[in-house]
Amino acid sequence: MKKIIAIVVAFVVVIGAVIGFGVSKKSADKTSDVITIGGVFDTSGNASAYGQAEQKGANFAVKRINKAGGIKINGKSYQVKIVNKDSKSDNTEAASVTTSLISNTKVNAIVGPVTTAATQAAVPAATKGQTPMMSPTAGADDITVQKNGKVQPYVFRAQFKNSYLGTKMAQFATDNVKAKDVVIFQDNSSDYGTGITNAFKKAYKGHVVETDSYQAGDKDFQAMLTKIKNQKFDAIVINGYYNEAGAILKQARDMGINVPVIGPDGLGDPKLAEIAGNKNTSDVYYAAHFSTKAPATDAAEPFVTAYKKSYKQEPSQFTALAYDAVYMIKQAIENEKSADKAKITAGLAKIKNFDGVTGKMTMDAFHNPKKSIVMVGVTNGKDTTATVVK
Amino acid sequence: MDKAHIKYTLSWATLVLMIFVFIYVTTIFDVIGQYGMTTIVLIGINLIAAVGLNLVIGMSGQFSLGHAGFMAIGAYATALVSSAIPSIYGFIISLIVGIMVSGVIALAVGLPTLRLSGDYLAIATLGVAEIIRIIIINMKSTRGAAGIFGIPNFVNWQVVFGLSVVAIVFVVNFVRSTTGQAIIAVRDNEIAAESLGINTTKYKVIAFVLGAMLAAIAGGLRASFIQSVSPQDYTFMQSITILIIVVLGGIGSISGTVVTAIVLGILDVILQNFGSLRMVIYALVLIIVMIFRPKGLLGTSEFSLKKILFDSGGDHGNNNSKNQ
Amino acid sequence: MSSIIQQLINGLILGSVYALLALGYTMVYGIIKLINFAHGDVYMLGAYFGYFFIKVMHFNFFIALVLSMFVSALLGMLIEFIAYRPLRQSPRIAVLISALGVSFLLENGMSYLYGSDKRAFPQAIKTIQYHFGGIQISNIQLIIISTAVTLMIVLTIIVKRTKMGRAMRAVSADQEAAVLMGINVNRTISFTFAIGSALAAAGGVLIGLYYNNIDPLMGMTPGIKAFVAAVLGGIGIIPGAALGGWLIGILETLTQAVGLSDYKDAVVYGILIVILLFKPTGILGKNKREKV
Repeated sequence: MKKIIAIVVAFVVVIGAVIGFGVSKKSADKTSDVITIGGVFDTSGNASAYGQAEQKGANFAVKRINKAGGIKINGKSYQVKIVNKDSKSDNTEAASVTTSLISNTKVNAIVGPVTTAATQAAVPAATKGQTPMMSPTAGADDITVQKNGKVQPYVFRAQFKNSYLGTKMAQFATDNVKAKDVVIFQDNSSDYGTGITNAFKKAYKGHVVETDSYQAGDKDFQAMLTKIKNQKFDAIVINGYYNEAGAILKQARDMGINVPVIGPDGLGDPKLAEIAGNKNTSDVYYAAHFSTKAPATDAAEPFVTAYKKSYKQEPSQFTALAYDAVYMIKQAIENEKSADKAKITAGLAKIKNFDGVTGKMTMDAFHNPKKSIVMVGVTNGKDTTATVVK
Repeated sequence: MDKAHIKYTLSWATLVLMIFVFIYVTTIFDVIGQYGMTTIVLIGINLIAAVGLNLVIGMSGQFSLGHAGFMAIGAYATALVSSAIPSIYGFIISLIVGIMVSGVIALAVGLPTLRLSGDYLAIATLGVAEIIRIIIINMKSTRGAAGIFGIPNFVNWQVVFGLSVVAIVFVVNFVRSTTGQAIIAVRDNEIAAESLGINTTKYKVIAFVLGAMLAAIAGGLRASFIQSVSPQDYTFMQSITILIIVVLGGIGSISGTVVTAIVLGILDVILQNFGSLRMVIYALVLIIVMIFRPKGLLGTSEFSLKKILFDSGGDHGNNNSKNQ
Repeated sequence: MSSIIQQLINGLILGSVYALLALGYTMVYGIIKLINFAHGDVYMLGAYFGYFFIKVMHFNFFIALVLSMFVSALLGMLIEFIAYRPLRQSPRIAVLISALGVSFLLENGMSYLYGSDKRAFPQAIKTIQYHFGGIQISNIQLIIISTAVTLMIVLTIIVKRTKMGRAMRAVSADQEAAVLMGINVNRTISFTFAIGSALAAAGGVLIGLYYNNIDPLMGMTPGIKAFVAAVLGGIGIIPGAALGGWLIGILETLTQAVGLSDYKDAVVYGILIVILLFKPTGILGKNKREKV
């Protein structure tokens, strides 16, 4: 009997302590002179190559902002702090990490997540926490749209919509590459690959000879390539990321398939030529947000130079998009003269003619940046041409 | 029902109530915040899945590497049905649909493969889970790799807490039942059990199907709570996550599973601050725990309220089972 | 017709690497009944060692291959010593979790240290394409097949003809009896891990050269596929692993060739399950009766 009494007493004490703690915490709200941005990036797991690139871009942006004196609101300078959390390439984790950043770290805005699926999972958390969330690279058309057709109030992106990418690529294939028949390879383990393929097929005026799928992480494309080798086509469209596209490119060229290759911005990484070999990376065109060949804005050139100096490598499209995502948040804060979450949200929705490294951007009614697509042509592993697709 | 039994049942119920009140108070006074609540819900969901897997592994002695497949079925059932009928009834129906579909598939897989001994169940279930995922990726109605989002949320921590308790009580009582004892007989010595006339495959299949159903509930709850599903959520790694909870807790020990699910959930929260090192630390924890506690944190024994509360007061009842 | 033969050759090459990996799985399983989930990651490390020896030390490709096999063999023994040996008397599933821990550690440790981005593998041998009729095969593909076959022959000789090989077979058949016969079980198991890891490393280096890229997670999928291959051929049986590897390679290639690329892996798993139902011990497996 003694034990039971002891347990009951202990229980009452614990509950009391919790209540006491809760009450005392309530009164301890304080204001700070630091603006905190939360970063939700997959730095481990399948998507980690992209997540790490974006985390670098976001960190680099924060470093540059602070070096230039931080963000000025009404004459007062605020330093920016970025708190990055790893979402493990796991969507549930993305939701949980987002909640943690909002309710524990009390961030003013969030940059991330990396993929469409992770962003979808994080949307309810951002909405509940009324915190603006800017995904650098989520591409699915409807992540910024609610079920009822209204815009998701707290979700923004720096990336093109998948359908926009697919449509413009189709236009480029017909108008510039003059391809009448194409073969499509798509990464069907992500919405990025399949979403762009669908839009491409819808908009393309020529004939799609064949569509083959692969999974992220695949290395062997011999079977797919052998199958198409003897068919008639003028171009290959690869809807996926540079990792697999590089391998496809190498194996296709080794096999003697020398037609032009067209891809979305996922191919825009210096690793593409490294994996495929410089010699094989010719006659390749990818949709880009920025290119040193045709800098979209004045911001691109200094960014690339500074980034190369800091990290000893070329920035990829992923890095540049995350960099812009942070700078758009800065712009929103400065325009609204407040680091309040609701104000940042309003500011992001109103972004107009923003000079990002990935282009001059204006947010449309559905929080998608309107900017032009540059199709970059690669010869011998180097960006050589740039065509703006209107 | 004797007096002692009622006493134990009551003391367990009190414990559950105490935990409930504790969480309730922490949420009312906002000590743990939204994030704490999310963590509790996710722990609870893993717990339900793990209790189901423990039933399969612990009671039948064979292990499944395909738990994620059954969770995926539950998750997609909830996503599809409760998006179509966005009300609490739709949600309940969706859970039932998930449970049924998952149970039927488990039956179809389990009947032939559970006849085999050794690690074949592991391989067959691994294959089935992958096939389920690939079919989901390629189906139009599941929206492929993009997954489904905007699923109405009917799950809060109270729902998960309640269902976790129900799942645990159900599994514990199932193990204590005649059927459950038959299953344990199967685990301990298959040939002896067979010669006593126990249909071993039948009991293994029952355990497997129940495990799959619990996995479907966990998947459904998660879909509704996170409000989105995608095929990437239910890869091989998800099966492994659940398997690790069961093994670290001790195979066959339900209380071990409960404790480990909570401990790993909290560990995860702590590790979130370590960035890229988090998975490295997690890996080291796994290896070290296995080397020093190869039978799991609690081994095969159960946490016993009887021992803690009443044993000093003399000999209660005449039950010799240490699993009381 | 020529494209069918070409596809079979593609499958054979892909399968050779699965086979090299499956051999390691099957030997370890045969001897301590462990599904060694870390095996695919040893393959990854082997590729990184090869990268290091060629890119940094500027060794000849074949010297780099042998050195990488040697270092990986040591690593395999080390993994066994630290993570599996203390668990020799524990439930099998505990060792399985420990293996998963090692796997996570290698994958995430490598991506922490060297980043998870892909690296281009140095092209130590220039690709030359040969054409026979309508069929095309490169010198690198020939190197892969011939290295795989050579290593399998060497392995068979070791297992069948040497004293250590006999010890391995004895421990695999009956560990307790092997102890009574004066066999040092720990040493035999170490040796098994060494050989299995060396084969995996060879696979890793060959794949690096062939596909020209390596990354810390490259072992995940081939690891699982190789395990499936080992089971398909009959787990614990060395020729079975080779057969299973080639079979899966060819199956994967053919499903893509007939236009089922969406369901590539599903077909492989489906066939695995069907074969297991009709022949639970795998294609080359013998049915054993259990004693009471």
